[in-house]
Amino acid sequence: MTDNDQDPLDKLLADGLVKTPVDFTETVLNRIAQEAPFDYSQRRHANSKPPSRWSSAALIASTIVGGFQIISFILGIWIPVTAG
Amino acid sequence: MQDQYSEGNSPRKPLFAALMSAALPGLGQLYNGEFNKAIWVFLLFSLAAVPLIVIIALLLPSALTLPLVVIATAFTIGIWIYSIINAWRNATHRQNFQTRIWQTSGVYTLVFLVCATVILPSTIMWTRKHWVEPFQTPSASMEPTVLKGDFFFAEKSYNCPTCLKKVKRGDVALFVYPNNRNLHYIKRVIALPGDEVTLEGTTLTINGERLNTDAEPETESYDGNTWRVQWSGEASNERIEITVKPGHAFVLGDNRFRSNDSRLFGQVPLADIVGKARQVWFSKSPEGIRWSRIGHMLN
Repeated sequence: MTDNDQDPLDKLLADGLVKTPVDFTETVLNRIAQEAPFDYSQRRHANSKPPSRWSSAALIASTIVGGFQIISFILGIWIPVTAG
Repeated sequence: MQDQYSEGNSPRKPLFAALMSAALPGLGQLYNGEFNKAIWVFLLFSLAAVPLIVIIALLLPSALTLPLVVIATAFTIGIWIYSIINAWRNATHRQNFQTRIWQTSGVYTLVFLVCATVILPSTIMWTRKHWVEPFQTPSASMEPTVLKGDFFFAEKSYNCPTCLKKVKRGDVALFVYPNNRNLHYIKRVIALPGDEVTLEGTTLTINGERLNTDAEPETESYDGNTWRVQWSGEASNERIEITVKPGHAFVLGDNRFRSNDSRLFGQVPLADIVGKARQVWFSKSPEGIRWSRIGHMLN
């Protein structure tokens, strides 16, 4: 049996990195706890970044345009047509 | 479940959420991942507020038109404000947020463009074309019924095969001006197809039946309807005798000697009659606001 055929767990046992399967599980769980703590405030936010200048400008512009559209919609039932 | 989420965490920004809802009610909710709420907020804002309430107003007595339109407007504003505040508050509670795969700036932009520039304008145009439309009159041709400076609602569900109401003699109606189809006029429908109308001085008859009396020339009635007219100004002694053509109506202004009506521009095609005046919602004169006219019913 070559090294490549050996079961990965058996290899770890042979290398002495773990003593028993239970120790292996414990090692993995400890590693998870270090890398990803349950306290979410400590987690890294992979996609959190400040808004770009363009997206802020687009948001402000769309708010202004949208605001006018909303006001037009609200007042739309009140804007009169002239009847002679 | 992993494939439903983009990788990483993206806390919601309350100001972004509020501004998005200010631009379009429901958009801030969409930004917060509240898909179902976003739909309901937008539907309530665009359909349940003004369109639905004005349709209900047409089923109720005319006197309730103005209060219900006011309620509809207030309801619409309330939903808008609720959307902004709710988006802000919910965004503050979403500082650990997994964005959905569809939560992208492109989707927000597309939703905004479709809803704000297509759906909302179409909804209000549809409401005005088919249900209720506001008008104002700058002329005195319909005094004393409609005063110069009156702003009123007209019901548009009028004079069509599926409409709630048909044209009747005595109706104060809105129609397309025959000599300029970009203009609307308001006059009283006096006679319908086949009627024989005679007008001489202050004596008006329809099918041989006189509408007023010598004792009360300014009170006319026909078919159970009664209205007031005005015979002030330079009197006309011309005798008019006509038979209303098929598919047409004969209209007169209530200010009989100061009105540009069927005596001058001819009979109005029935298909051009688009609405029936309902209730005054505002009135102003050179002397100021005529508060007593607000809520006055016109038909």
